[in-house]
Amino acid sequence: MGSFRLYIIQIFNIGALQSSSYFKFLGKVTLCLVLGQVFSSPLKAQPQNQSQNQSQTQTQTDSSRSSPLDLHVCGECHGEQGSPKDKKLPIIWGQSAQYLEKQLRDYRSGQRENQIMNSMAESVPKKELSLFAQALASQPWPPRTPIEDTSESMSPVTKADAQTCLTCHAQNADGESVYKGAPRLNGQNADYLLDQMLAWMNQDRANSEVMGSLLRNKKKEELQALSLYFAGH
Amino acid sequence: MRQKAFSKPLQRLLCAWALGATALPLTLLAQDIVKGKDAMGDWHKDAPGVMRLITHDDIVAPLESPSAANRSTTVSKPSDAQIKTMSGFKVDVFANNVDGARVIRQAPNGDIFVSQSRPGNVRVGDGYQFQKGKITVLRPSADGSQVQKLETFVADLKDPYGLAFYPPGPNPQWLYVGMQGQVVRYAYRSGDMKSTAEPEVIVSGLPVGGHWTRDVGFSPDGKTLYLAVGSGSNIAIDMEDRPNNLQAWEKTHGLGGAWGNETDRATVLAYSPDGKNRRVYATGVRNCSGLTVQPNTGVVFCSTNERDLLGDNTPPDYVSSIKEGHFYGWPWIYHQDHEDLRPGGGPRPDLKGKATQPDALIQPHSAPLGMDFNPGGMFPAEWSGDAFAALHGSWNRALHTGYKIIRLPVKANQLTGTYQDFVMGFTAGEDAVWGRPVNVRFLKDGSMLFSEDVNGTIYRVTYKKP
Repeated sequence: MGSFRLYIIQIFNIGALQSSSYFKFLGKVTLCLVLGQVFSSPLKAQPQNQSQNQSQTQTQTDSSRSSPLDLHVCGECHGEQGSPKDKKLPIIWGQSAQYLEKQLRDYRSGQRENQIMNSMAESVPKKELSLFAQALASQPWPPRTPIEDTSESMSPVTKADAQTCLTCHAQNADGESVYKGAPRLNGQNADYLLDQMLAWMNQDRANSEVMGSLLRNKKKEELQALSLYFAGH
Repeated sequence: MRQKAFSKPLQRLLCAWALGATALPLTLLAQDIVKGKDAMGDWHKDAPGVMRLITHDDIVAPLESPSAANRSTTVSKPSDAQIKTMSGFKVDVFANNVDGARVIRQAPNGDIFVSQSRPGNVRVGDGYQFQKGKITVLRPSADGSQVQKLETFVADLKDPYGLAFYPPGPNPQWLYVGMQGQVVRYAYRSGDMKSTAEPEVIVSGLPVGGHWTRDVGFSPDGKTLYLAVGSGSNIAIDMEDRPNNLQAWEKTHGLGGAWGNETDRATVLAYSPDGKNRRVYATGVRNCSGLTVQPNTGVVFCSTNERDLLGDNTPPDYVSSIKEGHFYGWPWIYHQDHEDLRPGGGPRPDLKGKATQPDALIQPHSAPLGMDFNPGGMFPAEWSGDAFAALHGSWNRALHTGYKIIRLPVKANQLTGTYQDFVMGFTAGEDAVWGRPVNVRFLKDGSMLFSEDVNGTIYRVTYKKP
């Protein structure tokens, strides 16, 4: 099969556990968890940076309870080293924890639509969502291949728009957002950024009123320029 | 070893062909049926003509295999890729660049209406072709093989999906369009390729978020409008606490009717054609994305994707008749009596055994979307009345399955439970696919169209007796 696949472990609330299959199931979970420990050392859900509102001790205690394989599962699509093979998908390693948590909640409730993510977000127990988001956020943002700086060729309108984006999203090249709930755009995949802006514009994505209103009446070319600008920022 | 499941029929087919058989009896291919676990293969084991049968007894325990995340990447058609189908059939491109093509319906005058639900999300070549949802009309050439004229019937729609002409019969006056939040209808006269008047809102306030494909259909007498409303989530994991009086709740919302943020979702609803007299027709159908009324009986059918995250081989998806007042299991039960303890609001062991067993079980995670019945006139006579369904393909499975068109034999107006691999070949290795079938529709001449939403292609399948 080429590359070995990584699996979701659901250690909570699994349905339909008829007594005949229950022990077989438990055995598999245990096996998978053991394998998970062996294979997943660089990806354990342990935030490396101390969270701003949480003490280190608290974080470590909580993380020991979450499944060590969960981040691996994300890696299947979002890149095992945080860089997705499919550039239409977002980089989630090192992304804002608050942002990631909101997205996971919105996927669970259907507020944000994506067939796969609507299901996948259910595989993180509700009370662990926050911790899980922190774990992802604490992974390093993947090193990026430098791409062309397009800021010079942008139209004055697009330049002004880019400034508007920066008020919330980022003040510097490290992508430190002014508002913790705003995701990092700098160095994000251009294809993903464009896809999302188009989705906001078309109301296919509607889980933030601000973004919906900001992007309602943009031109496709302008959005393309913005996506390239932030991808290479 | 991979070839074992279908080597016999293929051998026969090749021998017959090599010997210059003039008319290859298609029933020959139906003699070897792959059953149970053997029927739950992957794309390597797909081959034209393979018959499969999965029954209630074959349902695998949850997480007998782990739940996998294996999203297919989508690519343009590789130069060496070939669509495969059964002997005597031909699959040709009917229309290209119909981005996000979903539901297909033919008007009585022959024009073909296609809902392009989310064309903006489709990448074409190196760039994007971005538009809001729309409905496109394709007028076929005299021989039916090509598009002679293309017009946009209406543009700038939010998630247009289901299409139905009303009243049924040769002189429809309206085109009904199911969208995520509402059902509207456009005035229609035979030959119209562009809508001129404002639409009339028939149903408003439909839930938004989660499953968004609102399919619509009419009873043959035109008295009932059916509307499919899929669930908001995979398994209602965050559904709030149950209503105080469950009995009273079920009186209004149907047996097994979900509540909270899933109220009246995973249902088929019924209305008068004017949008009045709303009632819950059936419950527990997770996402009926292929609502089809059987022409000669008026029975409602749904093709449905079952729940995710329970492992490679459970639970089966299904294509089934949907009976009024029946409950099909979601979220608490699947396939009659298999309990799922994940939904919010606590378990419902009282529903065990009360869920209706669907008719034809499709390999888990195949993702059946659109379906239609073969009216006859071109395909082999013994296939008249059979159902066909488009399998969008898996993501929640270690190895890909689906990504094909299947035939579901019908005897005495009922699905037999078996199905046959009919058109396939859209996979390009373990990860990539270049076509994801979404809808099938038979035309008046008996040929079949199907749409796929990776590259926005509509194909036409024709048959000539070999």
